[in-house]
Parts: sequence; C-alpha cells; structure tokens
Amino acid sequence: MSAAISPPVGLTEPENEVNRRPSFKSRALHSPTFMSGAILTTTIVALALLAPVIGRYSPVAQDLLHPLAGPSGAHWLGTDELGRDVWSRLLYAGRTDLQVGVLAVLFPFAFGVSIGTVCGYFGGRIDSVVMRIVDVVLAFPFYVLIIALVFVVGVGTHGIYIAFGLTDWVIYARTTRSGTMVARSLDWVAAAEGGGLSRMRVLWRHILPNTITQAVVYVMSDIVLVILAVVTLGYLGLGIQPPAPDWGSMISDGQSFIQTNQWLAAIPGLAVVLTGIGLSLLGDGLADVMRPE
Amino acid sequence: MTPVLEVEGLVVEMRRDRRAFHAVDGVSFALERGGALAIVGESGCGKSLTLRAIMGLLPNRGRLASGRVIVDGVTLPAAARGRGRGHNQQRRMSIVFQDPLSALNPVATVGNQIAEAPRHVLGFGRSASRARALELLRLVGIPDPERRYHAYPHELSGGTRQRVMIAIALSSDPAILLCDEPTTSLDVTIQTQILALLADLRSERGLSLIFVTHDLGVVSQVAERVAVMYTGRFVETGPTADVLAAPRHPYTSGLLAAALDVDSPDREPVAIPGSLPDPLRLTSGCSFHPRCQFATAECVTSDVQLERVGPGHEAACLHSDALSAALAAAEDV
Amino acid sequence: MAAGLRSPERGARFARRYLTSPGLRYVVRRILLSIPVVLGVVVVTFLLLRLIPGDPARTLLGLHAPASAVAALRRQLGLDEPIWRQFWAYFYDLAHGNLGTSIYYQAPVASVIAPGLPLTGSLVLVATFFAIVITVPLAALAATHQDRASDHAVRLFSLMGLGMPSFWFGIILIVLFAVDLHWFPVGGYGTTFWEHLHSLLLPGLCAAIGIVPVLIRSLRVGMLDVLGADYVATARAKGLRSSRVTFVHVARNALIPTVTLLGINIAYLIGGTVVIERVFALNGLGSAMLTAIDNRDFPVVQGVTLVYALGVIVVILITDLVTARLDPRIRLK
Repeated sequence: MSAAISPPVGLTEPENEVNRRPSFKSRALHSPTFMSGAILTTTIVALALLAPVIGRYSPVAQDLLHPLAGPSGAHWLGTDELGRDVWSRLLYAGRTDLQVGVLAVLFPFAFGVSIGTVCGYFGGRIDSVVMRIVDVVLAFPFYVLIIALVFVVGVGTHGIYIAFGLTDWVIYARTTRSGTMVARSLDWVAAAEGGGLSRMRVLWRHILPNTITQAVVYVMSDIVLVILAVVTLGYLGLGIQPPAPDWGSMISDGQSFIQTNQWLAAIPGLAVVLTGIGLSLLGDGLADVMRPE
Repeated sequence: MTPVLEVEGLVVEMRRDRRAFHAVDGVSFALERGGALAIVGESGCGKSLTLRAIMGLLPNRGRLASGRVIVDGVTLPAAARGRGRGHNQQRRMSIVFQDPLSALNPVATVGNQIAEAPRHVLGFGRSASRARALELLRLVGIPDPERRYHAYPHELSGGTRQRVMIAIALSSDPAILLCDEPTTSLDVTIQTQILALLADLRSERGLSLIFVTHDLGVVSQVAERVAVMYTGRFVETGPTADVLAAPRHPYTSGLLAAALDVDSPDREPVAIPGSLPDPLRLTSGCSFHPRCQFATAECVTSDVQLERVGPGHEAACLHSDALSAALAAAEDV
Repeated sequence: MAAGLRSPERGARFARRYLTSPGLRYVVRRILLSIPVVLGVVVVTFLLLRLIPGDPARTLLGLHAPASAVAALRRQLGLDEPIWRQFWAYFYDLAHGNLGTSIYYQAPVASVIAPGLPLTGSLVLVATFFAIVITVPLAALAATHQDRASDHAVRLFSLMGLGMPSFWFGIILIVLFAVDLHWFPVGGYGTTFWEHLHSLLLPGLCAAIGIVPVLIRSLRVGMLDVLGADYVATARAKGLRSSRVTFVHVARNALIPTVTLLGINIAYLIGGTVVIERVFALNGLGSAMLTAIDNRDFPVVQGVTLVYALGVIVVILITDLVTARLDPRIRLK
C-alpha cells in the first residue's frame, strides 16, 4: 500500500514533505499569537533600548524638593521618594532587567542542550550521573537555591549569573535528553547512522535541529522566569544593587508609601507583567509556528 | 425487507488551520440485515470518520454538515447524529476501534468495562451485569474469564484486548457492529482468529457488519460487498468477488496492483504514481485524475458520479470500459 | 452469588494487589530511589559555602573583618579540618538531627528554625488548596470548550499570570483587601487557630498564583488528551449518560496528570513562599532564611535550605505514590 508512515509529532524528515507547507515567515505572519507577542516584546525592548533618548532624566538624579509628586507634564509618571523621575527609572530598570534576563539564560541554554544531547545519545554512565545531578538540583525549591547561592557568591549581577548558571540548565538538559532519545530510536536516524555518517554528523545535522526547536520555545518562558527571579531578588535587596534601578527594588521602595501613593509600587509590577505577557505570547506563537503538522 | 442501516449523502466537515474541508463528501449506502460491507481505502480517505459520524462520535474538530442516518427504518434526529448518543436507535449500533489499548479505559478492569453497559444502560443489577460480562468474555473466546475479569487492559495481550473490545461492543446488545480497522494492529494469526470470531457472531446472532480496512487481503474473508473510498467519496461499490476480480475504477485496480498477492508471488507490486492530494486543495472534477492513466480533459471538468457498471456494481469513472478492456488485454498477454 | 462467598475472594484479591508484589515492591523501590537524592542534597548544602575560591570564613565576615574574628569563625565552623572530615562531621550531625549552630544567636540552628516550620507548612497547604481549587475547574472549562470563548478567556487569564511577580500581586491584594477594605490583616500570623487561618488566606492565594498559570496550561493539555482519547469515545458509544462518562471515565483519568503536575510544580510553590513571607510579615522558614542572610548567619541559611529540599523530596515522594495508586499501569514498571 502506498500510504506513507509519518514520523511522530515533533520530528520531521528533512526532505520529505508531501504537501508543500507555507513558509515559516508566512506562518509566522499569520499567527495572531506570534504577531501580538512579537509586537509587544519589540515595543518593550525598543523602549528599554531607547531609555537614554526617551527617558528625560537620569535615573539617579534626585530632586529632593519634589518627592512623591503625581504625574505631570514634567514628570510623566511622577517622582519617587527621592524626587527621581519614575518614567526614566522605569525605562532604565527595564533595560537592566531585560539585559540580565537574556544574558542569564545563555549559559544554561548552551550547556543544558549540549549535555542533554550527549546524555540522550550516548546514555551510559554519563547519563546516569548527570540525571542524578539534575534530580538533586530539582529537589531544591528554585528561589531557595537562588537566594542561598546569591548569599554565598555575592549579590548583584555577577551573583545572579552564577546562580542561574548553576541551576537553570537542568530543564534544558532533561527535555533535550528525552527528545534526543526519541530521535535516536527513529528509523531514518538509524538509516543515517548505518549509511556511514559519523556520529557527530548525525547529531549535528539530523537530531539537533529537531530537538533544539523545543529548547528555543522554552527559552522564552525561561526568560520570563529569570526576569521574575531577578525582580524578586531586587525586591529582597539581593539582586541588582542600588543606585542602579531595577523593577524589583522600585516595588520594594514604593511599598513603604502604599497608603498614599499606590502607583509607585504598582507601575513597575505592571511593567513586569506586560513583559511577561509579551514574551509568553512570543513563545507560544513560536511553538505554534514551528510545530509540524 | 428494510435494510437495517441506510446512510444517505453523509457529509462530514473538518476544521484544520482555521479552514474547513469535507473529509467525507457525500457517502450513501444501505446495509441489509445480517449483511456485511467492507469499506476500503488508504489512511486519510475518510473511512474512519464515516463510521464515527454514523455513531455520533465525531471529534471536536468535525461536524456533520448534512446527510441522514436511518436505522431500522427510523431516521436519527439531527441532534443525535454527529454528536450525542442517547437515542434508542443509535444503541442498536456498536463500534470496535483500531487500537484496543487506547480504546479501553486504562484505570478500570476489563470486566467492569464490559459490565458497564448492561448495568448503566440496559438496567441490569450488579450481579446480573457481572454474569453477563463473564458470559461475553466466554463468547469472544477468552479463557479463564473469572480471572481475566479483574485484569487491567495493559496486562493483556493485543489479541485479548481486541476480544475485550468486541465484548464491550456486544454488551449493549447491538444489531449492527461497526469495525474500524480492528485487526490492523494485530499480527496475522491473531487477525485470522478475530475475523473468524466476527464471522461466527454474524452467523449465530445475525449481526450486521461494516468493516473498515486498508488491507485488501482481508476484504474477501470478511464481507460480501465492498466499497472503495478515495478522498471522502465512494469511487466503486459492488459484490466483493466482482470488484476484486474485475475492478471498474482505476484507483481500485491500482490498489490491487499495489498489493502483494499470495497466489502470484512473482508479480511485483506496482505503486500508484503520485500521492494523496491535500484535502484542502482538491482539484475540480474527479479527484483521482492527477494520478490516473486513463484521464482525459473531460475528467477534469465534469463532476463524476457513481454509475451502474454491472449487477449491484457501481463505479464513478468515465472510462470504466476502457479500464476493463485494458485489464482483459493484459491478462491475455 | 451469596455475599459471604464474595468477601474471602475479595480479601484475597486485596492482599494480592496491595500487600505483595508489585504494589508494595513499588513503594519500597520508590522510597529507596529517594535516598541518593537525599544524599545529593546533603552534599550540595555542604558544598554551598565552599563554592567560592578562598577562605569561607572571610567570605562570611567580609574583607574588613579582623583576622582574629576570622580565625574564631574558622574554628567554630570546623574549617581547619580536612574536607572529608568536615563532610563526615556534617553528615554525622545531620543524622542525629543536629543542624549546626547559629553564628548570630549562638544557639542550635534547629531551635532557630523550628518555630517557623508549622507556619510555613500551613502556608504551603493553604496555597496548594487554592492552586487546586482555581486550576482544576478553569482547566476543565477550557478543555471541554476547546477553541470557544471560555477557552480563550481562560488562556488569556493564565497568560497574564505567567509574568506576574507573586509578591507584587501580594502588595496589590494587601492594598485592596487589608488596607482599603479591612477584610484581612495587613500582616502577621495571629494567635488562635482561626486567626492563623485567616491571616494565611491572602498569602496562600498569592503563593498559589505563582504556579496557577503554568498549572492551568499544562492541565488543559492533559485534559484535552483525555477528552480526545478513544476510550472516551468507547464510553460514549455504550450509550452512557454524559455525567457518568465525565465523572467515571474522564475525571478519573484526568486526575492522574493533575497529581503529577502538582508534584512537579510544588517545589516552585514552596520556593515562592519565601518572598511571600516577607510581604505579609510572617515568621516562617522563609523569613528565618532572609533574616539569616541579613545577619550573615551561614549555618541557618544552610539549615533552612536543607529543610526545604527535604520537604520537597517528601512531597514528591507522596505525589508519586498517590499517582501509582491511581494509575495501575505504573505499578508494573
């Protein structure tokens, strides 16, 4: 019978598409989830990058004569307890938080995907050892481990990078490992191996392109997670140190004035929420677009 | 005698990527009491959806766009077709699915699953439904039914699971059994046993049968009438012996040529050129013409319908005579 | 069948299923599998202080501390010994329930931590309750109304929650419900049981919001899998009332991924309580940890981290065992 056996969902053969699918670009442009996520995220990133231009004051410039002022023509979102312009601080804080968020996932992504592929493909003792380590890391509540690590290694951005570098790679490792194990068992991969391709080549050209898409989709939600953690650490005073602005410390500062100026604490939180929505939509849209039929 | 089941102009609409298409595009047939009809076609031709539409079990992405289902002379009301299982006439039908592992509830014992319909639909008491379940287990040929009653589906072999599925289908005392590729996931020896079981059930209980399969080899063992399906429509229907010996539609003869034949082991199977069309982008006219060697300009423009080509035998092809001639000539060679 | 004949047969079945292989074997095996993880956790907490190159005592006291203080701390923490002896001492103490001595309070760490345990434990319970009560109905609503308005509403709701800092949500809740409406205390724990419960409601809700969005998204998918499964079609095909299909077939199976997902996410929930305790001024484990950080009191930080991890291991063990109880397929592996 001529009916083709189709590969399981999640993996496609490189050159065998019976029906020509619309290109990636076309699918992306037609996906409302992807587009709304992309637009929102780009707007936020643009605002953050353009902070020096759009923000009209330096984020650390104090004006002790006009503390806790409401929104006005001079200060679009008013001022905080030290007279600093909230709008400028919001933008600069976004800059810092986004930057730290993205940079902090780079190492976990690279390391986690690599080690996960090695474990899934070669198995054996490396696999057992690494998976034990993953289990142990996952036994610690995320925030507890991060806080403890930041305490030991030191607060501030370098502490954040080290803390996430040590802990965040495990999910990438796990999912890449299972994706690799599934791919390894497929007929066409065995065919490639049997055909004389070196193992590295099989890994690089055939297995990795398939498993990495799942990891890339996860990166989006991971960045949200990391930004949340950075902001939380900032709130606790363990994150980005003053006077550098950070959404978390802005919320913590604003909390003292909650009875009179509720927006001081509310606005940075809204910024975080919007960033989270943008990135999540982008991640979801990416997952939709990259999913094979 | 009124046919036990009549289907008229069944159209099932499926949604994919926000677009809709007709996965089943105007299927009609009649099933005589105690008779058996095989529906043959490749994966994706719509044969499973046809059964599900008749049973009222369409998935969320599908709906019954039009058509009538008539059981024992009574038309099923619109609400009961497509989705919904309450109507009495609908309970005269049961379905057996292809993969018994996914079609059986993993967290309930097989015995309880067989006893469920007698207890909650037919109104039997607890011990009566249990007794009935044991009886059905014996009927479908499962040894040691008292022990097997308490087994979970994953603890049983594939063949036994399929027998359990058949027992469940019989538990609501149906007159019609719809089988959706029941032997595809089983190996050949088990397959033969299951087919024998179905034949027994037909002869002993007068069950009527619709058997969907993609395997031409099974058809002659199971049913005396066959319908060949392509892109949601019947392209040829007729007595099994006639259709297999002298097909009148190029697709049917293509399927036969592509199948391995135990009687002529030296003949190489010949694949049908081209591939299944994307249902969202069907061409006009006969949907098979891009792959057909007999196609002419007329095939592209006219809407080809099923036409009588012999006693009880219909084919939807403008060139069925040319096909017969070509096949006869090939045989003489 | 007389009732008396049923009981011994049932008793034998019970014994066979739960007390001998494979049920008990699974429980024992699962507990044994936790042991390496516990050991790993102990090693990690031991290594915490040794992560940075250089003298751990100086790290704790800072660059400007006098050498005598550093030396005193080295002696107190036993940092002069070879590393394997330090680990052995640490492990030995732990095995006897000794979590070390707090530098700041000069008292056993256990006594510093213990008062906060009941509070944090209750907070986790309340949060878990809220998580379940919010997630399950919403996920079920979205799954049963796939692609319709309520599905989109639920998904939008969970999307908004994905990026929401739980402590910020807590502040908002405090402003709304405690400051403006005076329905809840602004912070603190109260003295009586009912006061405890009352003061844990807002914090519990907050902590739950940390995982509810992720939980809803995952559970919705899990439920869609169950709803679309063939065995649900089989159940409907029997003619059962839809309420029975929903509760016996769908819900019973959907429970499995629910419990599994809860187990996976509970660690994150527990971690989230640390910052919640600060927002609501609750003196639990989390605030003990944060205070210890302010005091540079490493042994307390280490002890709290260990307790948290052990708690997570226990909770995951429990959810695994519950899942095995619910899913007969697992016990066989």
